[in-house]
Amino acid sequence: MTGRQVRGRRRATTQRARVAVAVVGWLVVWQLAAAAVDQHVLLVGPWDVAVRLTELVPTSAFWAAVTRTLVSIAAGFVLAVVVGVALAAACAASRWADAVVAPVVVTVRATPVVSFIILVLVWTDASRLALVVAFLMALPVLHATVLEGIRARDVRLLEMARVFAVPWPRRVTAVDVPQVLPFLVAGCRTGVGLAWKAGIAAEVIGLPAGTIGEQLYQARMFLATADVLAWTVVVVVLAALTERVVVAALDRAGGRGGEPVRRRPSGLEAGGVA
Amino acid sequence: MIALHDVTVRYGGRTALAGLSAVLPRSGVTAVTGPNGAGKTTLGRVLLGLVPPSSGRVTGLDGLRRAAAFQDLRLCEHLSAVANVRLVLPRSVRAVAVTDALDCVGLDGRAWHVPVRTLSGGQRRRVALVRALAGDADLVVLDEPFTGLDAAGRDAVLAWTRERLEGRTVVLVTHDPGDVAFFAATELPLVPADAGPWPPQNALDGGR
Repeated sequence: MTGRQVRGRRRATTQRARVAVAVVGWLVVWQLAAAAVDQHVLLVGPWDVAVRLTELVPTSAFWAAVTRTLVSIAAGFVLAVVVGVALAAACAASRWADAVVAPVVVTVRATPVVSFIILVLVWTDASRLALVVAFLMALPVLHATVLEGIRARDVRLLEMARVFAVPWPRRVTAVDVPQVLPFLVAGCRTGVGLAWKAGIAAEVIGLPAGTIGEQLYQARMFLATADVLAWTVVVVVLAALTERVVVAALDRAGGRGGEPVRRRPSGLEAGGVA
Repeated sequence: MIALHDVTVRYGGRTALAGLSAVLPRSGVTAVTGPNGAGKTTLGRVLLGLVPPSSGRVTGLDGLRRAAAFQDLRLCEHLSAVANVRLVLPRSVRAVAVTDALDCVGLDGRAWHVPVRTLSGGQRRRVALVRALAGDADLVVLDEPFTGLDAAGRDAVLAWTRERLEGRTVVLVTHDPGDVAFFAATELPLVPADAGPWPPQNALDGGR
C-alpha cells in the first residue's frame, strides 16, 4: 500500500469517528429533549425507541410487514430503473421519442404524490399501491439522470469507436456503459430515497394489509409514539441498505467503482482545428 | 488512391482548411506538416470521415478500413492496454499477438493488464499507436504519434511503426523533419488558411 493510500484510509477513518461522535451527540440531545418534555405521547427518547424495536424485531408480524413493503418498493424501483434506462436510451437515439416522452416525464415529476396515490386506489387495489407509487416517483429521476449521462458521453471516444468500426455491443460495454454508469448510480441514490418516502406515504394512506405503512398508521391511531419512531428507524435503515445494495451491484456490474471516464479538453474535439 | 479536390472545412466562421487539393498514394506515407492552426488535424478528421468538407470533395475513401492514433490518444481509461487494443480488433486476433506488439514498442509486461489511466504519458502513447497499427486498416492517420516518447525507446517505436505501415495509405501529422526522412514520406505542407493564397505549392502531385 502506498503512503498516499495509507493517508487516505487514515482520513476516512478519522471522518467516520467524527460522524460517530456527532451521532452519539445527537442521540444525547434527543434523550435530553425527551426527558425535558416528559410526555411519551409527544416525544420518546432513543432508549425507549430501542426498547420498542427489540420487542418488535423478534415477532413474525414485523418481518412480514418488512418483507411485504420491501418487495413492493424494490419491485417498483427496479421497474423504474429498467423503464427509465430504456426511455433515456430511446430519447437519446430519437428526437421523436424525446418529444413524445419528455412531456409525460415532466408531468409525472410535477404531479403531487398524493394525486397518484388517490388515482391508483381508484384504478386498482391497495396491494399494488406502493409498487406503483415507488415506480412513478423514481422514474423521472432515473430517466433524467441517465439521459444526461448518455448525452454527456465523451464525443472523442465515440469518434474513436466510429473510426475503428467497433461493433456496437462492444462499444456499449467498453465505451458507453462506463461513462453512463456514474449517472445511473447518482439517479439510483436519489431514486431509492424517493421510492421509500413515497412508497411508505402511499401505504399509510392506502393501508394495504400487513405493511409498514399500516403499522405506522395504527401506531398513530393509538398515539404510540415509540412505535412510530421505531418503524421510522426501520424504514431509514431499509432505505440505506437498499441504496447500498443497489450502488454496490452497479459498481460490480461496471467493474470499476463507477468512476467517470477522464475528460480532457483538446484541439481534437469536434470542431477543433489543428 | 485518395484524392482531395479543393477541400475546404469551416467551423462556424473560422476556416480550418482552405481549398486543399492533394493526392495520397495507395501505398506510402504522406507527412502532413505545417505550423499550428494550419489544418493538419482537420485534414486527418476529413480522411477519417469525422468531419465532412464544407466544400470540395474527397474520392477514394469508400470501403476503406480506417484506423488512427489520435493526438489526444482517446483510450478507454478503465480498460487495460491489451483490452484497448483488442477492442478494435476482430475476436480471432489472439491476446498474445497484442502483447507481442506491445512488447515490440517497449511497453513493459507489468503495464499490459492494468487500467491505462495508471500508465505514464509515454506508455499510453505506445498503446494508442499499437491500437492504430495492430489491425489491417487500409488507411491509417497518425496524428503526432511520437510526441512524449523518451529518446531511448523512440527508435524501437519508430522501427516497429515503419514495419507496420507497409502497403497502407498512411497520413502522418508531424512537426519533426526527422520523421519525414525516416519514413521516406511525401511531404504535404499546410499553411494556415489566413496566411495567403493557397496552395503554397502545387499539392496535387503530393507536393513533389
